[in-house]
Amino acid sequence: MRGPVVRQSARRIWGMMYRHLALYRRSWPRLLELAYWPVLQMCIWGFTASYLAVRMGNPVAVAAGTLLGGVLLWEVALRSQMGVAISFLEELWSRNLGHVFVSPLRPWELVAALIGMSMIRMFVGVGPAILLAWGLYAFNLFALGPILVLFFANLMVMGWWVALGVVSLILRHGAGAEALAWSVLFGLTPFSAVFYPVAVLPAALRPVALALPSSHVFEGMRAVLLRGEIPWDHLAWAVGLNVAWTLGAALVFARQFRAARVRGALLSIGE
Amino acid sequence: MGRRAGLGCIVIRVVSWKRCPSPFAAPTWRRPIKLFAMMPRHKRRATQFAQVRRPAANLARVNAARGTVPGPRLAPWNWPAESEELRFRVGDSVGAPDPLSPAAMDAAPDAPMNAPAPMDAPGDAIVVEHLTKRYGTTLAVDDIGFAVPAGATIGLLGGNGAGKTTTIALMLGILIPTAGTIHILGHNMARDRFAALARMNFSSPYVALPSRLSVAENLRVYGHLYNVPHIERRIAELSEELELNEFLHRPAGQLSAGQKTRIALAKALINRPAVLLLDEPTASLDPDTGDWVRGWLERYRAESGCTILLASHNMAEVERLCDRVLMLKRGRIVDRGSPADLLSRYGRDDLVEVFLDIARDRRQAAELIV
Repeated sequence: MRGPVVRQSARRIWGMMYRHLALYRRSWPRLLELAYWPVLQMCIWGFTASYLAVRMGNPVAVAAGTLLGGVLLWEVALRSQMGVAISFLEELWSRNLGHVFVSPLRPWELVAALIGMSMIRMFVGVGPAILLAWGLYAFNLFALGPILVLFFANLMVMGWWVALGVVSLILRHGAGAEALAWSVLFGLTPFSAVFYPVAVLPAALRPVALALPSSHVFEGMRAVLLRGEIPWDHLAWAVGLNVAWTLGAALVFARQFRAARVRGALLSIGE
Repeated sequence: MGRRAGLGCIVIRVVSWKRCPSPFAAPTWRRPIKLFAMMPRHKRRATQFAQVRRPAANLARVNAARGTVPGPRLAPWNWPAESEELRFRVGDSVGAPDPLSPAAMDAAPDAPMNAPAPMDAPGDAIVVEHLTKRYGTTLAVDDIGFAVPAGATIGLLGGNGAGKTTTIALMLGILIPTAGTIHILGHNMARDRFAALARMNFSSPYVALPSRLSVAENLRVYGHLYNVPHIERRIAELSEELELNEFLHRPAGQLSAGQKTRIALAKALINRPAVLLLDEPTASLDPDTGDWVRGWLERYRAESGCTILLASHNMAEVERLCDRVLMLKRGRIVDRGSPADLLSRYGRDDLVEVFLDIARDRRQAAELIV
């Protein structure tokens, strides 16, 4: 009994992913957009880091490496968040939500499909930037070792729960909230300690930073790159915080989805 | 779940049977009453008017009490007595007062056109009871009830804002009702909507398909969502039936309104639905394409035995396709019956006139004419 149910769910999830893959196949500007911003970021920060390393010598070169690592890893979170939120917005823009939500597709299956698309988008977007960092600036992100997988996983999960919050806001406020799909994670950048340690922040802001999984990931990344230590404590915090935030975001999404069904917003959602 | 629902049906049937035994099981002196109650509506009406003239004042009092133009105070779903099963469904029971009698009207002036279908008969594909949807202070759907036997085509008729689309959205589970229940194919839409959604489908010109995807890709997406076996074969069948072949690989957004309507129909039929909800399927189509769609729907219904609920402003379409019509106004069902019944009841030649009678509150005049 369980087998067919799982197979049917998997097929519905694939159906939604196929819908987006077919869209990318037919729209090269969308494909280009995936890699454009991460590559641009890498160019800007790569040249900045090269300049600093040339002017100030080897110690700064190592710090510049953490800068590039920060840029690349932050793109992982950013692309993951946008992957979910923009895939949802594609449904809204094509006025297709009415058909999707009257099909047997469960809301969690929709979220699973959006997450699947977000992973594909993230790898397509960040991949070229990683190659660029290696080719132009001799920065090998994979030098971080197997721990990189955990950093990636934590940042991706963080992107997903932030996106789930954005989707909830879109369900609540309509397409008027769509700008958040691009901007909301930028707002968390100062607190995520992407380019500097949490200790640099004013004391009042440190608890805010430490409540985000990303700050623990970046503290961990610096520990690996600068001291060669594997920061298990930071990783444990990142995982725990991700679990808590994901549960919270899932709850908010479920409530907003139900509220949208009460208000009739799923058929008429717009600006 | 299914077993529990099945058991519930059996219990309901047993209880109903006790409440509604065959008229021939009734004591001899009550048989005429029972037979009268089971008559088709127009015959009943004629018989009653021959016996008791309803004073116009009584009708006016009921109108005032309801605040709306009342429908006939009959049992809720007034099917002609094609079968004993259907006759029992209309809520008649032995010894029950004749709902058309003045006494019954005095006792229950608000008895109702909007009352629910009393039971979920085994042959009902859709059963709606006390359905209400309120948005703030606006009552979009006001305590409506009806049942649709499997294989029937029902028209939802009404002006803009009458509650047709809201009713369809409620039936699709995309909208949560304020009160009331909906059972589709035996599944309670509040608790088990996905089981029903897998066996139904929906088409509306107001809900688009992704325009950059080709027709085939769109159908493939929905084939996966509905877990259709052998998708490519099904797409080929639909392309043949709905003549989609010439634009099957073109983006859906580049097609004409008529072609889009055919794609929407193909999407709605991808899972061979047992219940099909169509919201204005021929809106914005030229007469030729509209006629093609109507002809196609007629053939499809005859071949598949699919239950269809059709919301439309097109009276000719409703007259051609629908076995029964629900007339909605301000969220309430103000009248119902077959198109022929409505025409004869209102003394009109076409449903447009009936629609206008209802829209402009000319019902009372029509009642007096009858």
